[in-house]
Amino acid sequence: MISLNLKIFLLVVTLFYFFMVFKAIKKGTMPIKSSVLWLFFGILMLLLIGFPEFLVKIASLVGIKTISNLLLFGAVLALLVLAFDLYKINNIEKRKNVTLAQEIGIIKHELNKKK
Amino acid sequence: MKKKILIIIPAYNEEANIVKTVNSIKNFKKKKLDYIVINDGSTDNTKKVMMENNIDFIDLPFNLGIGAAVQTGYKYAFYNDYDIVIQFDGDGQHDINSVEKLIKPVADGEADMAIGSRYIDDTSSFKSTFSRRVGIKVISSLIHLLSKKKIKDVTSGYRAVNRKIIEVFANNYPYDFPEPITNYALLKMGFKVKEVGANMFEREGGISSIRALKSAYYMFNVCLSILLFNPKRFKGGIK
Repeated sequence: MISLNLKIFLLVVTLFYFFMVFKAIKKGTMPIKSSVLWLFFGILMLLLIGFPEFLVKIASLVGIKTISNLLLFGAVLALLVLAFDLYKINNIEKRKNVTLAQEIGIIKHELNKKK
Repeated sequence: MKKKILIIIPAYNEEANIVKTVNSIKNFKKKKLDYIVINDGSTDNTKKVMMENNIDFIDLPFNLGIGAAVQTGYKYAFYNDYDIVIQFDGDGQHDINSVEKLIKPVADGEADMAIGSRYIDDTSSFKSTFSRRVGIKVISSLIHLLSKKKIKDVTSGYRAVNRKIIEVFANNYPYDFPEPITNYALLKMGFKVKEVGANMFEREGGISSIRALKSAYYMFNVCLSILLFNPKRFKGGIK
């Protein structure tokens, strides 16, 4: 059901993905703690390339007619969760940023008074 | 003991009004009042004008928005042991002659917060535009429904608070729609809130459809924030 050509192509893409993740960890741009999630995505991709029959079962189980629809749905869902998570993180950082700016303003005012 | 009173004036691009506003406080004869302007990253000449006129201000490194700017003032008041804080707009909308009426209930311990109100009596002849008035009515009714307490001028930014609330606000103050949300929050936390008549001036004339739409958007957002409000997140005390 999945041609050898396609399998090789997907494998190359996945390997490239792993390469990117490991490079980021090595460079320190990705903390080990959050790398677990990204590695998990990679492993999931490998599993699906190795055992595509699994997808057929899930698709029929939830009532989705074609595998491509299931994959698209899954990908969109994963990205949505990710975007939501990033949005939350961004807001937490924004709050910290505001607090810092407020304190800097007050400290600057104190310093100017002493001059 | 004499109470230490501070007026907080947030200012964002107020080069045209800020000197007049601060001078009205400096020249106020009946009471000596400290003030601090919070320059919220203005991109016009607000800062230059203030330096030329010897106005005391905190200079925020970039624009934080009205809520965070006002909170900076509350933090400053908390660190400098002020007993009473008055919020005062930088655009000249608020009348300093109403300030004593605002301070009195807070200084006497009759209320934890006093709100300068356009609607409680005839002190103010300016009552805001129609679309804004409708929005204020709806928000006021919602707060009444949820807290059983009535605040008529629920979006008024002319307010006086005591030390307890200074501490709460220094620690936690909403960045968006701060006035109606904090009014509701304080009621829910059991603080005494009192409305007193205060004079306000009109900012600018003209009604546009865009403004009506903006009012509706504002009203919807505030109502949602009030409905989803979590008092646990608002508990005071500087960490």
